[in-house]
Amino acid sequence: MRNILRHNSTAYSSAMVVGNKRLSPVYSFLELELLQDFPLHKPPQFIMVWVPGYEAVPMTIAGRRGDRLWILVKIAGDTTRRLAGIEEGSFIGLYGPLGKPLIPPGNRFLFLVGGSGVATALNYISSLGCSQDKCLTVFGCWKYSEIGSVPELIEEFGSATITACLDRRCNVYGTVVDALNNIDPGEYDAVIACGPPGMLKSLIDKIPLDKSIFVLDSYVKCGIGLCGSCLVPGTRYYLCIDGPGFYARELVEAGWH
Amino acid sequence: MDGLEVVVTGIKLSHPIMNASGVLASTPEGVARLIDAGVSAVVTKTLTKEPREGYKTPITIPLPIGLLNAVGLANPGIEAVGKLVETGHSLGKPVIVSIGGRDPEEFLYLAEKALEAGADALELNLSCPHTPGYGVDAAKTIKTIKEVVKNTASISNKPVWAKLGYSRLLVKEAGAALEAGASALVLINTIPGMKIDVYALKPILSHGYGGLSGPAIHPIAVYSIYMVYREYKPEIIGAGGAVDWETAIELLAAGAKAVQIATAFHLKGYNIIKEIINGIKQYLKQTKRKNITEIIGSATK
Repeated sequence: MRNILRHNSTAYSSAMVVGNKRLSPVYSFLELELLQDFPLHKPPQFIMVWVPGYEAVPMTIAGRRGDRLWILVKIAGDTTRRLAGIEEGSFIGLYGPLGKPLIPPGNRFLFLVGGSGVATALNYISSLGCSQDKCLTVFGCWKYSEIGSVPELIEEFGSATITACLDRRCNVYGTVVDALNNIDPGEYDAVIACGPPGMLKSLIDKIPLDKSIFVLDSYVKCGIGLCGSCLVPGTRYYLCIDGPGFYARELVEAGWH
Repeated sequence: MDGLEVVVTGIKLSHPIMNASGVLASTPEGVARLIDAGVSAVVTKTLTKEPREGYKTPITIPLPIGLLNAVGLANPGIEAVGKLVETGHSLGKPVIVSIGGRDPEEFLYLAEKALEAGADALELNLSCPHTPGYGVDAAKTIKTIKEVVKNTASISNKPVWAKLGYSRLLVKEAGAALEAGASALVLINTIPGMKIDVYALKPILSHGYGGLSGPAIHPIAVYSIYMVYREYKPEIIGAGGAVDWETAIELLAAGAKAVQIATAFHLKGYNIIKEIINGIKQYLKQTKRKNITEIIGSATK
C-alpha cells in the first residue's frame, strides 16, 4: 500500500487556459498551464478534460513542456464546443494519463488521421522525433473548410502533410483511404491510424497489419477500467485500460467489428 | 490443495479474492474479463428493475489516497442477469448477483429474477452512498434493513449477503440484517466524499458527491469488520482498500472469510488478483500456516 501512495500514476490537476487559437470552424488549439503535479504521459495515452458546468471528455495531449500542455479540440458536442471557444484565464480540470503507451519501433512513420485523431498524431509526431523528410501525415476531412490551418500545425510539429477531402482544393479528392492510391505504406517503419471506426476499418486491406497501429476513439465514462463503457466491439478489450492503441492485427484477430 | 480454499455461505471458493460489485460485470464480456483476471467468484454490478444510464461524466476522480466515484448505479437492468450468470457458470465460477431496489417489494422482485437466472447468492445493495432512492436511501432505518433482508431471505433458496456501509450504527444494523436472515454480511461500501476544484470552486463529480474507496478507507473497513465479527462471529466478505496481500490479510484477520476488490484494479491493473494470491501463499509459508482459514478473525481473539 505504501508503494501505491507514492507511485500513483494517475492524478487530477486543475489547469488554466492560457491560449486558444481557432484553426478552423471545428478545430481549436489550446495551451494550458497545469496548476498541480500531473504525471507525464506517452502516446497514445489520453486524459479526461472536465469543463466546469459541462462534462468530462477524453482528449489526447498534443504536447507538453513542463507545466505547459497543449490539446487540440475537435468540436463534437456541447462540451467540446464550449472548450473550443473557451476564454483565456478560464479554469478546467484534467485527470490522467489513462490507457497504455504504445510506441512503434523505427524512424519513418506514416500517419493516417481523421476527426479528433489529429491530436493523437501530433503527440506521436513530437514523441517519435519526426521531421518532414521521415514522417508523412494524411489528414482527412469531409469538407475543405474544416481543414483550416491544421496542416500548418502538423508541419510545425514535424511531419509533412497531405490533405484529403471531398473538394478539389485538397491535395487528394477523396478520403484518407483514397490517398493511399499514391502512397506505399510498406515504405514506412510503422503506420499509425487515428480516426473514426469507419475510417480505420476501411484501412484494413490497405496497410500492413503487423506494423500498423490503430488508435481507437470511443465513448469513455470512468476512464480507469471499472465501468465497462468503452468495451471494444467484438473483443474483450477495454479502450481505457488495454488501448487506446492496438496493433491492427491484434484487433482484427480479436474479432473487432 | 494450496491452503487458499474457503467456503463462504456454502459456496466453495478456490481462494478468497473476488471483485466488488461495480467492476465490469454488467456485460458477459466484463464477467469473462474478471474470470480471466483470476477472481474466485464474480459479483455482478448492482442490477436495478430498469436499466440505468448513470450520471454524466466526471464519474470518477483519482486521488492520491484512493478513488472517488459517483457512477449512479449505471447498469443494464435485471433483465440482463441471465447472460451474466450463464457466462460466469460457463467459465466455471459462481456468480453473486448484486441487486438494488428502492423498497422491500422491489428487492423481492429483483431477487426472484436473479434466483430464476441461477444466481449462486444474492448481494443486497443496502449501502450505495450516492444514488438517491437506492442503497442507503432504500435502507434508511434498521426497520427497513430488516424488512428488505427478511423478505428476500424468505423466498431465497440461495444465500443472501447484505452489503452495509460504515455508520455509527453499523454493529446494530449488522445484527438486524443477521437476525432477519442474512447468510453473510459484505462490509463495507464506499464512504461518502466530495472533491472541489480549488480554481473552478465547484465539486468535480457531476453528481457533486460520491463514494470514497481504496487505501483511504482500508482502516475503516478493518475496524468495521473487527467490531461486527467480535459481536456476532458471522460470515463476512470484506471490502475496502485491499490493494495487496497485506491489506487483504488484515481484512481476513479482522474476521472476513473472503475479500472483494475494486479500486485495486485501477491502481495496479488486472494482474492484481494473481499478485495478492501469490503474496498470501508466501505469507502462509512464512508464518508456517497450512490454511488461510486459520487467519480468519484471529485478531479478535
